[in-house]
Amino acid sequence: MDAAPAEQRSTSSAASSADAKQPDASLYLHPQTLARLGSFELRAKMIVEGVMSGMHRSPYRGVSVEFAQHRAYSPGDDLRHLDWKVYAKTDKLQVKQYQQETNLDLVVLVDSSGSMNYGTRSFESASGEGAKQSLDGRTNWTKFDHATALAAALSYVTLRQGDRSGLVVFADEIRAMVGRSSSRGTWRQIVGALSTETVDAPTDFPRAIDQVLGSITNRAMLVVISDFFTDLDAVRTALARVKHRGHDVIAFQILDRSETDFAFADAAPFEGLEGEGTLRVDPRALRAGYLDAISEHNRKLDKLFRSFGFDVQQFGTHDWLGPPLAAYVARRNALLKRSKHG
Amino acid sequence: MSFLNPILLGAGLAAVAIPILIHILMRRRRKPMKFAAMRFLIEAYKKQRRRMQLEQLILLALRCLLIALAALAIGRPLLGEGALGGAGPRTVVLVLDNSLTSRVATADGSTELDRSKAVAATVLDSLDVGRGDRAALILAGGPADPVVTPASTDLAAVGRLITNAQPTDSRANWPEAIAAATAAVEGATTQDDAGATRATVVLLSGFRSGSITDADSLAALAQDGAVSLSAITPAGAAAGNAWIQLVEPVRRVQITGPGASVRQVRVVVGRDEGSSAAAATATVTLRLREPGETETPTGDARVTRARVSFEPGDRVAAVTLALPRLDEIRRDGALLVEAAVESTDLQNTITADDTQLAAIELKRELRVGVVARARFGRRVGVNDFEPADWVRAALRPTPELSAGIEPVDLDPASLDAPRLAQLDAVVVLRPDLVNAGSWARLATFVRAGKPLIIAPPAAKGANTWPDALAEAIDTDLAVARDITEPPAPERLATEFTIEDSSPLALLQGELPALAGAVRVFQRLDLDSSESVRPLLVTETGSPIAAQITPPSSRGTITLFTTAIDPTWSELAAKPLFVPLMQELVRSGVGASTSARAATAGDRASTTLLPPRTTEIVRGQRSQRVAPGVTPPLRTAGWWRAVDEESRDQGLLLVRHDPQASETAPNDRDLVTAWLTGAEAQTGPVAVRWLAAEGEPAENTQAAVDTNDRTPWDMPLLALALAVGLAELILARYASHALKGTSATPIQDRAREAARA
Repeated sequence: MDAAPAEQRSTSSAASSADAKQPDASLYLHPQTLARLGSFELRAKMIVEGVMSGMHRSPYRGVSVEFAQHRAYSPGDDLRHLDWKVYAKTDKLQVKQYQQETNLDLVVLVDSSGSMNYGTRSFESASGEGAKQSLDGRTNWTKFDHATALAAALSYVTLRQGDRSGLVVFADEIRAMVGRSSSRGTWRQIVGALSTETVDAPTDFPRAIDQVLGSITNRAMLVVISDFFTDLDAVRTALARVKHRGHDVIAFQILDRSETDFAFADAAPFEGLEGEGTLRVDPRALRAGYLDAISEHNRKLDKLFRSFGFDVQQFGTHDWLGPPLAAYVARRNALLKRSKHG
Repeated sequence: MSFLNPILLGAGLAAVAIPILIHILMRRRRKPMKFAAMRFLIEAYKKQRRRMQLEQLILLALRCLLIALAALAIGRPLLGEGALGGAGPRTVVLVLDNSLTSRVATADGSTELDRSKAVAATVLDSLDVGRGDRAALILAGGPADPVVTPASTDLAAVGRLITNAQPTDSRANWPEAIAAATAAVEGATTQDDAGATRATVVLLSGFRSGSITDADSLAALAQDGAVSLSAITPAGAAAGNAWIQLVEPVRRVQITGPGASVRQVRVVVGRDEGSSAAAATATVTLRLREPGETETPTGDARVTRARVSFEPGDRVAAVTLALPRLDEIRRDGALLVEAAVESTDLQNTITADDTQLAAIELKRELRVGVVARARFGRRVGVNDFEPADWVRAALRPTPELSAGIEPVDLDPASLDAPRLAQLDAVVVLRPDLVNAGSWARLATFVRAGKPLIIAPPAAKGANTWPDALAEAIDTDLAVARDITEPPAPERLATEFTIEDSSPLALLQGELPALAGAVRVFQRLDLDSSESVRPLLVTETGSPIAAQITPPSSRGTITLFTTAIDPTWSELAAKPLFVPLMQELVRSGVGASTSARAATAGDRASTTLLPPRTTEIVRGQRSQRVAPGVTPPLRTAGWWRAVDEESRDQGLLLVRHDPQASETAPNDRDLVTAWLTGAEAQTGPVAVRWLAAEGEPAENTQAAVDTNDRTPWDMPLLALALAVGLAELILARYASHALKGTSATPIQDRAREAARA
């Protein structure tokens, strides 16, 4: 599917709705909204538009000085970029867009290990009035579903910026990969790669990073979307290499709500998704210990990323995708600003 | 330890498997639940594994313990010494005291026997036929009646027998009852596997003084501690009672013709020890009854009344009443004399002992055989009097008027049975002429209750007849063969004691004055012994007349040691002789009446009854009597003794036992001591006391428990409750239902960390 027509449709609809009665754009960023759209393209578009309209300062502000094209104004755009001449002639609000001078390569790494294939939220709930189950028959909304939605949104934004975007789906090794490109076919490739499934294997983070770094020559921004249920020493090794190569990293840790509050009461045995075996315990008896353990892990994870100057942001499968997207945009802008001045 | 409900205990203990099964099933049947963050769960588990396993084990143990305790409590365990097998059948021997004091009426109108029956019923209810429990029943009212022995599993039938048990007029025969109980217990033990039977003897009595006595020697009850003893708590206070202790006609044979007998009847009234401190009065009636099969009084006209007074401290008070003129009723045959307490200001809780019976026999005259050599020719004065003349004169002082006694001359050679059967008494004045066969017939005459009076012959010479007499009556008689002539004539003693039972009791007032006038010149020496009781003695203490009671004889022999002859003594010529002979005959024939008296509690043995008796009959009831067959006599009243051809052999009077009427209480320690005395061989007795007075019979459920053991169900239930609470708390703690839910989710932790 081509991104441009969809974008046009969406933009016009958003504009018309803004004329009449401004809807809450954040609604579009809820997973159920995304699920209802049925395709990655639409999901990504809606996410991005929602994020942009919800922000007071457009991400397009001042990143380039060379005019590129006009586009319809959307609430939140900086009024400084309004083309008053066009407005005087046509009575329509158009925003001037500028050619980006510095390209930023984005590589989205999506974890497809076994632990990502977990989610307690129902697919129907996540999809609102949409499908009751996924195309492969699942009735639950997994962390991988959430990760692919975010990855698609990030790629969409990036491609719309004219930046190059690539995608790596990895687990114990790289399962699917789309090379960085800003060509029109890249989006289709990314969407195709995101349609892969998880594997019953643990995450081998260093190996995936090694393979990715081998294919990146210029500076890039790596966005890692994972639950990070892996050995932090291995993560540290991988991050050190990334840092050494001068790349920037922003990590999004996706967790299911049951993983964060562990509110199980039924004493059924627990079975791991990455071959950890079965554990027969009373969940209430272990809740405090479990929460301690996962909190400690997250704290260490956060500390680890910060030690390299990277960001890690945690969000859940029940959360909307606005915050991570905004975080990405902010990070991107900071990075561009730094490279421009530096 | 044993259990009252072993079946429930078994079911409860089996239920201990339930938590274990649940534990196992919960482990196996649950479908695994996928979870992504297993590494953290495993990490937490590794840290807490030991503690959790320990908690789980403790929880499982607590749950098992909870059910086990509940099962034990339901099983109602009994702890204590002498415990027997828990699951074995129980044998309960109920010894029901239905003696006279069980008639004591309580405030609500029921009797102590009713209360004992209620307790017995409760004890029976606590038994379980399904388990093989058995009950034996022994009625202690004497003679003790082992109604159900050996113990029977037909508890309903035992219950009916208890309901139908009637009070007796006898004392409780505890030795027999306990012996029967012991036999029942031993029988039960041998019927079962060794040690599988628990036996409890339950004594259902008020233990009043009329029921028990220290003299009772009880057989050992507990053998090797296998038998436990329960008993109703002894009555606490005297119930108060008055009764006819004795009714005794002065003359049991009454002459209805001229020379009628003394018609007086002596009645003794008894009262309780508890009420003996104060003065009291009672009205006593005397009533004549026909000894028919129905208790028809002969009419109020023949009732006499007298008032009897108790002085403070007196236990008994006596009164003498006169019978109405008997010749207006009948001239011969038997009549019953019934004395009754008509009213009294004493508390009188037992009415069954307010009457007492005596029998009198009516005769137109008494025929007395005078055995002497016949003398021919005319006697002109007392100088010509021979001994037989003196005796005839004494028996019939006025020949022209009948005095009620008719002397009959008998030759010593003609003492045959038909002649003797016509006589009421025999006076033998020539014993030296009586042959061995005649002595044997005279002995039979005495055994039948008729009096025999013997005086030595006046002729000088060695006396060998005492040997023949001694042989015939099977009694050692130390009678000297040679005549003793004191250097000086001996006078009869004037100061001696005359017992009430002496045939001369009626002469008590005149005897000292009359006896002092008699001098004795010659006599035969006679040594006193157990069977020889002096009636008259000289101043030197030598017996002049003695009463001999041959073994198993109803009658007595009066033996003079001096001949009825002026050369031997002045006895025959002095005024003493007439009343002496009259009294010896009239009182002596009293023992020969056909009526026999027995006390309730005796058995109708062949020795008690007239010789030819084969059956005793009372209304529609009859019981056979034979050697070895001795029907028990438990209630007061009269029976007719009949022979094989249903000919009347006389009356059998059964009187209530006056000793059984005492309602004074015995405290628990005394009763225990009484039982302990019986148990000396096996050590002190632990008695489980049941249902104190005023306490409902329902609290006797544990009567069949052994010794002092009490059910531990309530403490066990309390313990189970405590364990249940501990399990609840530990389960909450172990499942972290408290602290687990309060643990902060990691998002909140992250926010808190960020704020910090």
